[in-house]
Amino acid sequence: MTMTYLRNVAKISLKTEKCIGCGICVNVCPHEVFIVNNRKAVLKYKDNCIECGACDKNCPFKAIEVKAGVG
Amino acid sequence: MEDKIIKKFNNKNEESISDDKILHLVSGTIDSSIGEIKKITEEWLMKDTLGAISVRLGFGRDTYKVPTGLYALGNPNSDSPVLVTANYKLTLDYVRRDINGLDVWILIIDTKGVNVWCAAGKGTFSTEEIIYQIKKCKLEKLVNHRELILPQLGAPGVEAYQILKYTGFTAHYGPVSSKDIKAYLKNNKKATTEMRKVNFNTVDRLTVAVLELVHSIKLLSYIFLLILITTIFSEVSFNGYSKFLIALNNTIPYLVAIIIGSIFVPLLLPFIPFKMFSVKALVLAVLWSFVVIRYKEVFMYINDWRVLTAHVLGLTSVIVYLGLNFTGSSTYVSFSGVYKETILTIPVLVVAIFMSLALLVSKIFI
Ligand code: SF4
Ligand code: SF4
Repeated sequence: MTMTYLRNVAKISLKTEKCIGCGICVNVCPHEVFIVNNRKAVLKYKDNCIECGACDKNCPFKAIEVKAGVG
Repeated sequence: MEDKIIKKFNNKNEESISDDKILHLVSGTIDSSIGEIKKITEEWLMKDTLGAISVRLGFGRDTYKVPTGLYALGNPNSDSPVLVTANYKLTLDYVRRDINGLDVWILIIDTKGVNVWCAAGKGTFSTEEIIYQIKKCKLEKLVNHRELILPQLGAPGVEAYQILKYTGFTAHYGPVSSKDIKAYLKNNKKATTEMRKVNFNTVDRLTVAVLELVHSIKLLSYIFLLILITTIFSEVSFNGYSKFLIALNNTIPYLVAIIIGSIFVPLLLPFIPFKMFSVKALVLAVLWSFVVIRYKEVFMYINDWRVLTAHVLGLTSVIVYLGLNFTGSSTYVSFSGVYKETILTIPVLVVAIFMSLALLVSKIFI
C-alpha cells in the first residue's frame, strides 16, 4: 500500500534546461518521484517527495534543487 | 569537497572503536595483496539475536558499533564486488545474513554507529568518508575492478560522481533493502523499480512503534503524579489509600492512550482516513474517549463534567501528540509537510492541555 502525505508542500525544483536525462535521479529516489521522458527528467509524483536530497546531491549537472530538512 | 577530504585525512583523534561486538563473528583471515583481511561469518549467533532485540527496544543503541575497514564474506578474490555499509552492528548483521553464500568484500565506513539512512541524513554516511576509507584501506590494490556498490539509502549523503573523481571508483547504488542484494548482483547490478522503493509495511511500522512505546511510556509517571496531586486536593472526603487507588485507576486510560498513540496509530496508519498524522490520531482519540466516558466507573472517574472533560482533553492530547511524534519515524513524509502539520497541531494541543489542567485545578477550589 502506498501512503501519501500532504500535497504541495515539498520544496523541490528541476531546471530542465540543465538536465541531460542520465536517469541518476530516478535511481536514487526512494519514492519514484521522477521519470525520464524524451531525455529529460520530469517530476512525475512531486507530492511523494520526502525532501531527502538524494537527487539533488547526485545529479551530476546540478539540475535539481531540494531544500532538504534536518534530521 | 577537497577541504572536507583533507580534513578527514588530518583528523588525528579518529575514534578507536572496540571490536567486542564483532570478534565472535571472525572465522579466520584471507590472504590478499594488501595483507590479511578478517573473514566474518554469515551466521547469526545468540549474541547477535539478543543484541538485535535489545537495540530494537532502545537499549544500547549508541554503542552498537563495529570497527571500520575491510572485511571478507565468503571467499572473495580480486574480482569480487565491494559493498559499502555503515558501522552500525545491526546493519552489518542484516547484510551478512542477506548475502550468505556470496563472495564479497565489505567496506565498513564510520557512521558513528548509525544506520545508513539516518547517517546519510546526518552527513556521516558521506562522500568524504567513503573516499577516506577507500584510500586508507588501499582498495585499489585489493581489487582489479573499479566499482563500488553503495546502499541506495545512503544517497542523500553521497555525491557518487565525486567518488569517481577522487578515487577512480564508480559508485553504483544498490537496492534499498539488503534482502535484494543477491537479486541485484544477479541482475547485472541493475536495481528494479521495486528494489528502489522504500516501503513502510506493517512490520516496518511495528518495529519503530515498539521503540516509540518504550520512549513514551515515561510520560505515564508524570500523568500519574498530576492526577494524584489533583485527587489529593479535590477529593478531601477520602482517606489517603483511597485517593491513591483512585489516582491509579484514573491513570489506566492514559496507559491505554499511550499504547494507542505509539502502537495503534502507526499500525493502522494506512487504514485511518486523512493525511495528517495528528488527525489520524484524533480519530482514535475520539473513539477511546467515548469508551472511557461510557465506562467511567471502571476507571473510577467521578461523575463531574469538569473532571470528565479534563480527561477527554488529556487523553486526546496524549494520543494526538504521539501520533504527531510518529511523523519522525515514518518514511514517507517531507520536512516541509511535517513542519506544516506541527505548526497547525501544537497550538491546539497547548490549548487543550491547558484547559484540561485548568478544569482539574478548578475542581480543587469549587
Ligand atoms: S540526474 Fe540530473 S541530469 Fe540526470 S536525469 Fe536527473 S535531473 Fe537530469
Ligand atoms: S528529494 Fe528524495 S524523495 Fe524527493 S525527489 Fe529527490 S530523491 Fe526523491
